[in-house]
Amino acid sequence: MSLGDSDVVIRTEALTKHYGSVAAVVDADMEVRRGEVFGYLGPNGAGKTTTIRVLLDHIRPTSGSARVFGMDTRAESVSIKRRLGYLPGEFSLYDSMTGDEVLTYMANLRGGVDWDYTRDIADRLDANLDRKFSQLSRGNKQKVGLIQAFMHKPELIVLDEPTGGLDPLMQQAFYEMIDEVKAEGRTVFFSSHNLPEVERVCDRVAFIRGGRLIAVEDVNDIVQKAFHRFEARIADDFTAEEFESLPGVAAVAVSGDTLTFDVIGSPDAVVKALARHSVTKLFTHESALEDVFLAYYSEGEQDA
Amino acid sequence: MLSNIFLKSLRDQRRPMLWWEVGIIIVSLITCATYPSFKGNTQLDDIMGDSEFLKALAGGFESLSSGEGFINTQLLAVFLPVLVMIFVIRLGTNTIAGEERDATIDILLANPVSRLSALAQKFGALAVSSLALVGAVWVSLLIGSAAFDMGLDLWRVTQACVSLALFGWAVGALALAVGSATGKTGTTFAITSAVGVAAYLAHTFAPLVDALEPLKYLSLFYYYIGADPLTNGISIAHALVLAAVTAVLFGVAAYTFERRDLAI
Repeated sequence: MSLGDSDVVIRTEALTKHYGSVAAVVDADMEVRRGEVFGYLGPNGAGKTTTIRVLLDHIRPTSGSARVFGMDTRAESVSIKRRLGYLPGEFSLYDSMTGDEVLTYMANLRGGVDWDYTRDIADRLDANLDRKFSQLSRGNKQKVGLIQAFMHKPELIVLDEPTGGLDPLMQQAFYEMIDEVKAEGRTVFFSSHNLPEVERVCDRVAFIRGGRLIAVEDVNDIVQKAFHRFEARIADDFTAEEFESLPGVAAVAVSGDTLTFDVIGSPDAVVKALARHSVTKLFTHESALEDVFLAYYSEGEQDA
Repeated sequence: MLSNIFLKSLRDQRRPMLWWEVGIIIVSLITCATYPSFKGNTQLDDIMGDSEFLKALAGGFESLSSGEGFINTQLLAVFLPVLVMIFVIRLGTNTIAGEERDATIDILLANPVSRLSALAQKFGALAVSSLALVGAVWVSLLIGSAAFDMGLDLWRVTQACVSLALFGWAVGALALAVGSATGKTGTTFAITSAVGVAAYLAHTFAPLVDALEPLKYLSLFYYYIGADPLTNGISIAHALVLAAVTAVLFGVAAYTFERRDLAI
């Protein structure tokens, strides 16, 4: 399902990066399509940041290649960067400059930005731009970083773990900004290790582990496959059999008045079955993203 | 001041620059103020003239009684070039390696700016900053000469200052090259400072030993002041050597920086 260059914003081919004898990324093949929000997931140290830095030409592939907008990241990096916005995971800006000064500097290096839009996103993120960067909290630094990645309305926004340090309200504002970018047909490449976040904003996700891309999936399919662990305390009599036969339910266990089970997909049938009983407490646990992937790609895992 | 990397890098130097300039002017003028007690005192010159070692300590100059000799020994031979050296090593180290240490280079180079352009703009700022520093030297010497009757020639002072500026550019380019190649501030500072000290020793003490004398040709100090620009005017050949060293080191910086991964 190879797509034409105009539809593909990022394409990596057998992308491999070694640091000395350590392989950070191995043979990664990936296509990110125009207009999608693409999640790049994996545990810390999986190779997410390495991949992103190759896209920026901050580091160079050991072998294989990466193309952005159809251009080689090595040969045409300046042209690529003109059309791209970037927020690193661990980043710093100039300590002695205020947020306003940093943004002015970055805007000038880009040949100008739409200041109305820039001020708008700064307001929505409730960013403090008057203070020196060194005096800002982690969350406020993150906001300045986000603004500089969005303010020139780039065709592609590359974000490395962008919501770290943001409080839930600001995360919401950030998700809305992503939705707007997507609505305008622009593309977002987004690394994360947070499943609910990915569910909320991404169209497709790639999962990377130990430097290898082990899966690329539609988010909807992942969510279908994701299981949630439920735990219910029930006051009246019940049996495990009542729940075992329900669609999407697995791993039913009973211990005293406590019933635990996993649900894949919709919990509708389980909720209706529980409604026949007197439920005193109900907990649900989000399954770890990695578990979801490992459960569904266990064959892939064997060669990793 | 935030419209490009060059101006922003100059802007970063505003405050430290002010202190450096004030310091240089004050120390230079205080030094000049002691000149009247040396003026015409040839006894010191006789002592110096008899001892190659004392002469070497004074930067290769033997006369303290003339205005030129005094400024050469007291300021231009050691004190000012060492200050300029510290200034440009600090700047050259911070240029690339410093932005890598602070991790600010990650976002800086996400802008549509090539590595070569970033490097050139930052070196341009270093060059202008060191010119400004040498400008303070120039002003101090002219004021000192007029106030304390040293009889320095405006044109010769200017040429000596040009030589000092070229020296600063060459040392700055060395720091830039090491920083661009390694991306490490500690390493850059250590290597560049060691080369600076070696250059000083090679120029100053190598001439004391015949066998070592040719070493002075390896020293940037020699090309800066070996021909005594304050007395004789600048040596075009020496100035060209300093300029060529600067150009080659900048080339090394560009070549190595272009080819490596950022240290972030």
